[in-house]
Amino acid sequence: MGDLAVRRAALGVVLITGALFASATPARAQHHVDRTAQLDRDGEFRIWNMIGSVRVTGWDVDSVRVVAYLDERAYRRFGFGADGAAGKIGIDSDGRTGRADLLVYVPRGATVWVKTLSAPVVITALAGSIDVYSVSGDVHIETAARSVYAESMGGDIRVVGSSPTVRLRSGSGALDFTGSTLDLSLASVGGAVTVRAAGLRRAVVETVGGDVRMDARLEGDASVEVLTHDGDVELALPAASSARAALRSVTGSVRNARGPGAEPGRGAASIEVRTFSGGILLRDSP
Amino acid sequence: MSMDRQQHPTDTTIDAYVEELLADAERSLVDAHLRECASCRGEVARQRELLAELRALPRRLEPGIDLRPGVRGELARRAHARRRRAALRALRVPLAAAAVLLIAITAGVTALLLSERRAAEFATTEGAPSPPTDRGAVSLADFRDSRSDYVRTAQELSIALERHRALLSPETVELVEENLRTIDRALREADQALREDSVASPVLRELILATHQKKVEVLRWAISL
Amino acid sequence: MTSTHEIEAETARRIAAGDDAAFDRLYGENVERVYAVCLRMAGDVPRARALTQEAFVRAWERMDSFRGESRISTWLHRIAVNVVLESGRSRRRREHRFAADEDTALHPARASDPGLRLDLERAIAGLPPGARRMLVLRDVEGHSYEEVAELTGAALGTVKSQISRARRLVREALER
Repeated sequence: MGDLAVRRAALGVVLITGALFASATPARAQHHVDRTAQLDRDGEFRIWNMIGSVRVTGWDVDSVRVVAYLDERAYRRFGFGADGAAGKIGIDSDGRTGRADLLVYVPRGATVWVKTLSAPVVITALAGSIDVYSVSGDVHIETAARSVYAESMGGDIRVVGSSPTVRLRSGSGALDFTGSTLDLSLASVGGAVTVRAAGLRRAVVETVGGDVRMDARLEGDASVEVLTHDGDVELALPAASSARAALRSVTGSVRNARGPGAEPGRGAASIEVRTFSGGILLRDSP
Repeated sequence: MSMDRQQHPTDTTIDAYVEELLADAERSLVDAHLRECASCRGEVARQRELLAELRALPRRLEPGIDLRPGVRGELARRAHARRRRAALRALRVPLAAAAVLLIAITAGVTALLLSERRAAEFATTEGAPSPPTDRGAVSLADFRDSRSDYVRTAQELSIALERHRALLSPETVELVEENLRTIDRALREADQALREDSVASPVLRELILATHQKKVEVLRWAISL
Repeated sequence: MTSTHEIEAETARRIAAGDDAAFDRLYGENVERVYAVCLRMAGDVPRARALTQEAFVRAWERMDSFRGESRISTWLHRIAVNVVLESGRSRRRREHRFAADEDTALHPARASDPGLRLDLERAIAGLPPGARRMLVLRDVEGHSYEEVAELTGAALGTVKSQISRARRLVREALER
């Protein structure tokens, strides 16, 4: 074997300890997989499923367990393994159809990384960092995590819960965040953005055509920045709160429907909204 | 040193011995211990073998993909971000003047409900420092530089995406194109407004750059799918 | 006669002035070296690629400060090590989110190739992050203990004991 081939092989198996089933060809069309491997409570686990959905849920056990029904094609391309600090499960696509829906239990504090093509991802009860990459699948995350990053070019992303930082990115899919976070960053192209947030210190929302609806309770010196080409922006703040707002549109309408409130003092929250033709409305929260 | 003939050397001492980093006196002590201790001799041999293997690992590995487009895209993105910050700093003085006036006339939330043209009027009537023409000239040059950076990067990425297209499913190709259409439509509208607006409003410029940036991001995203 | 240092300083001047071809040459000559140190210190492929990219971005941005006092490869190596160490300290992974995330680790054909070097790479990747970085700097990259301490900001005694522990963990992993 050439030197280069050795190097490639070395890279290829880093972190993988599980058996790979390339040559196994069981007679049945459906395979029920139920396997467990050791993973530290703060370990890192990667899930890669290009032909089906992924559901991940945290549990209070220092191991990772995968339960799945795989068809023949998926079963042949299935790999799983963990060695304490890190682990991985993956189903590659060979370009033809096949179906694999994975249910994965990981230690609650683990760092989890998920990649899918078009099927949904659902994540619950995890406290570690969560990273989700999907091409067009919907993503639903419901938990109190250390950090959340999710992207899907075509799918909707919905996050319910709390995390110090939340970063969501879509193309045409909608972004929806409900919960509390210090630092929120949402970016879409045509997808609508909806936010119901408490405890915000910093929020940045950028869309091209997507409407932005935001109902936010801001911390004292918070900053909120919204930038959109022709999405309409509707921003609601609690009636009693004070903030400085700069609302600017090149051709769209701009309206401040806030009632009289406290005079913004030093260190008050600041809000900046800029649109090309999208209308801007600032109002009190219901 | 933390050993004598009866006591085994510590791991760090064994390591220093293997790496020939011990002073002569200390080295003699370890030599003497090793003559009598098979277990430590084994430890030294295993450690020597490991170090030789580690040093023999290849010092060059292939990343498997060409990282240069990413390097150039990131450089363009940072250059733009610096220009954007500089342009915003240049705008801050007159905006602050307008904000002060509005705080004086409204209680509660203070909102700047201004078109760009009215913002310019405020700046003029309040006698804001720094002549608008100078400020406009600087940020307009930055704007043009940034925009041509983005356009060039987007062209390069579009070519790369064409090559990558065969690896994507028809559904994904359609998804990418749908997003690019949305962006291109926005850019056409904004460019039209720019041509009609001789003042070339800073907000319009910033929105145009943000949309160009979005296009570069979507192209890079599509290539990574 | 023109020395290597003068040639390299000239290359740096060209890159700083925006010469794309000069950058391509620098990249071609150094990327595998930079990537190797990033991969071993970071422990996984997507992160190593993102860090390698960041190292070249940073090198380009600072090219006008390169004076030819050391070899350009040494200078780049130092930048790469700092990039990895900084990312380890702050884990600002989001900044690299556009990097390709495809992973080649699950291709069965590759996984079936055994060999000591492969096991060794795996054992290094499996070390705790701090110990892994120190071991790679000392035992693979050949830095002195003092240099490792300076680079990582750790005390010399800590560096020695961490590396000693890391070596034994690697051996344990190989013996399993």
